[in-house]
Amino acid sequence: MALKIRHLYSERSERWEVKLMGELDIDSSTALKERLSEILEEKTADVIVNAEDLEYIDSTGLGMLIGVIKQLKTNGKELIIVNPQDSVSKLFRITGLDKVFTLREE
Amino acid sequence: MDQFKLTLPNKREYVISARLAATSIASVFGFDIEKIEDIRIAVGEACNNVVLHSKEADSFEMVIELKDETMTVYVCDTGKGFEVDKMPPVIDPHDYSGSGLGLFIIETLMDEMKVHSTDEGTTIIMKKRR
Repeated sequence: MALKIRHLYSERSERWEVKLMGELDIDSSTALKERLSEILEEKTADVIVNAEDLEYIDSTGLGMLIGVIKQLKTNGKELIIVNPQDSVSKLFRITGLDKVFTLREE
Repeated sequence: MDQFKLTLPNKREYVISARLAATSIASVFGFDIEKIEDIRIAVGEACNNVVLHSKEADSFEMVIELKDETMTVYVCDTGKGFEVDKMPPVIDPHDYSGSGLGLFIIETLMDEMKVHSTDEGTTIIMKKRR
């Protein structure tokens, strides 16, 4: 399944809310990288990634998100992944990247 | 032994086809859902390795063998290869350079992994037991 991306800026919480649906892989990670670059150029803010419908992530997706986190940190902002499925959480855990990313349930 | 062969164009948009084929075969072979997911991720990473590091190859091959309790997946390309010994043995999540994470993931999720790489091509061999 291809990756679908929806985003909106929440004025109330002053953050970008990005919902991912499908598979974040070597083919779709470029599209997400471009979308995140566009919205952060429009407004630099924290990014909340809703991953409840993200069915798959691979090392290229992880690597792309690490790049975004580094970019956000230079501006004092953060990226938080909420409600990841077990298979997605497992990949963060086995790579040790759960120590780099903030993952949480909401 | 049952054997399957799939030749894929060396293009990133077809990696999903390899993942789907491998998970379908794993399902028929009777793996549980968690192991099927491990196979899906490992096969994806092996194919990513071809697309990212063997750009000179027009196509690559995935061979799957089912024997007794074991599924063996071979992902073979004819690229220029890489020095396996130079891959990092562990990943530092706080200083991730983007190198070696895919192979690290395969090694963690599968029961066995071997990489044979020469200047005539690379084969990643992965085994998963039911």
